[in-house]
Amino acid sequence: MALLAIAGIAIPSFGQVPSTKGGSIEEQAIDVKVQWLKAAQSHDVSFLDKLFAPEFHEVSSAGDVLTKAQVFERARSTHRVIDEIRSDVIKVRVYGNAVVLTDRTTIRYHDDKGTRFTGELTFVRVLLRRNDKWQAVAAQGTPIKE
Amino acid sequence: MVGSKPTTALSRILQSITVLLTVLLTSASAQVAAKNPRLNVDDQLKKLDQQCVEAERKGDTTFLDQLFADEYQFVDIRGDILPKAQTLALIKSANREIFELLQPAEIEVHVYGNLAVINDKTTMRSESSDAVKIDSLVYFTRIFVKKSGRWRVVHEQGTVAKAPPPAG
Repeated sequence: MALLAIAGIAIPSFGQVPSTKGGSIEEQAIDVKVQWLKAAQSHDVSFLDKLFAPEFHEVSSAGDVLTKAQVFERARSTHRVIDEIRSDVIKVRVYGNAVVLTDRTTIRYHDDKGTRFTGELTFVRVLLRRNDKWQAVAAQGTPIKE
Repeated sequence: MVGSKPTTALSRILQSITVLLTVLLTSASAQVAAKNPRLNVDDQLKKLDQQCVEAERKGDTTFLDQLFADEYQFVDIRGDILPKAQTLALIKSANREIFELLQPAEIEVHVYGNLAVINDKTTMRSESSDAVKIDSLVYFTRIFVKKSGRWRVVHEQGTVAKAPPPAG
């Protein structure tokens, strides 16, 4: 079941991509982004599978180009644990059924080799509304240098 | 009039075949037309992308002013966000980077109606007036949006590519 109805409130279940109903497009896009970050942190590949279009690709802040499958592999891995991930300085630009969302993402993680990383990144994400669902088609992160 | 019935029947059959062929041919040509404009859009965007890179290399702010949408944002390789006016001012300034080389490769175009995402891997070799040298491979994303029949750049972002592992 895609939705759990509790006291008349529809709560998205695990892995459910936000629909394009309710709230403004900007609010929906920000909600998608928030859930995207949560899914990355909680290794929720099911959500990412629904969110990412088959042609999705990401230029990571480390300077790699990752396909959907490679992002999955990274998200699935428990070698790297994201301790904190949040974003601010959010800007949403709407173009019909497409959204270009930029933000400053702060990430703190560690891996099983003891490496710790804290950094700020400028991210751009491109989202499309397809069949009343949001899909991500592209993303790119750039480390913010002091 | 006696001989006119077979002629009429034959004429109707011929008319039906003609209509059928017309429908089939129209449908086929429509499909070809539906594919070709898509290819043309990709080519058109690739060309525009090259012109954009070339204008940035030469410092042609007149061209870029027309190409960049008002809400254009540039995320440079330091992660700083520059709006259109600041980007153009930087390109125009005396201490702008002088590009010895700005060569995109591995160009990929994804068109989604009136929005397109273009990715490339650009070799950048430059030196600013204060002798800061850059010699890097940079992944660029340019996002184009079609507005009033014209493609405009709304977002440009660069990330330095990961250095390849040392040989051997």
